[in-house]
Amino acid sequence: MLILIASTTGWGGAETFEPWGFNGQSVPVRPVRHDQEVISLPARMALAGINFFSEYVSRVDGDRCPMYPTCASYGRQAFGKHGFLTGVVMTADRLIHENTEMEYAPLVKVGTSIRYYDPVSNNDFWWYKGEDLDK
Amino acid sequence: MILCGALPCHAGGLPQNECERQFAFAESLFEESDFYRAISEYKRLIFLCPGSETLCEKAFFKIGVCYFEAQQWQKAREAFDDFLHRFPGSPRVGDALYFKGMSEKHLSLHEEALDTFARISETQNGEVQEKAIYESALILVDREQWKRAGEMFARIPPGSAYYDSAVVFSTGLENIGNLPHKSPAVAGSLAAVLPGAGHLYTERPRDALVAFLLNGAFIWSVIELFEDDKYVTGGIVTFFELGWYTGNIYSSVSSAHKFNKRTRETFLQGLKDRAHLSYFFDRGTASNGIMLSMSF
Repeated sequence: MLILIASTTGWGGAETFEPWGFNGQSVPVRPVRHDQEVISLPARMALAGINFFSEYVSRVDGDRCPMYPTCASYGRQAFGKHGFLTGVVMTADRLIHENTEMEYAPLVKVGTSIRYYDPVSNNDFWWYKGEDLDK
Repeated sequence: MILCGALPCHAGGLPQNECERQFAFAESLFEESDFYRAISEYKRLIFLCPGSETLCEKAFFKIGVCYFEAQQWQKAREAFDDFLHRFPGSPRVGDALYFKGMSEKHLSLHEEALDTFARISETQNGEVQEKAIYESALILVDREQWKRAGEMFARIPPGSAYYDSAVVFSTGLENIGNLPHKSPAVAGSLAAVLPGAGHLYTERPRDALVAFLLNGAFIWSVIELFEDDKYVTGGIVTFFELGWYTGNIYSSVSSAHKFNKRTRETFLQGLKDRAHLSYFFDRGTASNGIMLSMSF
């Protein structure tokens, strides 16, 4: 019974004790992605295309993108954040600039690999002043 | 915090020597950087020794410092607000305002932090006032308000520990207009005329090659397809080419902005490295201090 209680409440793991988290103050809150709810039809179609690429092409082709987020994820985020037209432009921009960006982008550890961090906010900061929704 | 609010300091409670022992225990936890438990003990003191005004005042202040040291910026801000409300005549008001301002700075509440630091510079003297002016100037630097930042640095008097550092900044900020600059309009126009030219202008030759080859290949395909009367395929390829073409212009403009941002950040980081200040909290006197190092 004791083991059961410990396993269901997390009591067994001393390393999970985090007093500052008791009142929820120290838990970072990620912005809610309201934009997904109002996404346009063309943007949905573009997202479907990206998903097709990720599911069927990328699996065969292999994971070769050195950036984080990957170009497909970046495209999804750009379409979700800015809609179809700007999404297309920003995705094309990403594919053009990723070579040189590796000289400047900070490194991040993703799983077991090291990637170059180039979020959407790195490429729209000069005109978009809204909430960042980087993943 | 609720406990503190419900129990204001007034006459009554434990004898003075017991209160001092309680405070010493809270201080020992603070010394061990066990801030979470130290807060509980300071609150216990406030609960048990409501008659000891001096210890209560210190305890309220140290609760804020505990939150600050534990990087609980919002809680720290609230705790120092509470302290300032309860003890407006305390000698620790300057330090409390400074901690509050720094908490707001960490919360990216820049306007609020500037207001708090302005309050310090209006009501306080000496080192805490100079620190507040210096921090205000640094916020203005981060917000790229160079002129206001320079004016703020100029307010730090000679003889201050911050003076040399302020001189490094204000001299550097005078030259910020001379930094290398790429015009986004020129980059975009060049890219519109010849794909890749905008990237060459912003010193990204590999991107220029990619943009030129991609657009060249797609434009060539479109011409060939329309010449062969393959209008549907030509239309589809035109659609994709429009994406590459506008992407190339956007990318050039973005590259110019990134170049300018990177140049500014490198320059400012150089200034910060040359005029490096570290802050510390003197636990013996419960006051702030600075460690100044200068590179030549």
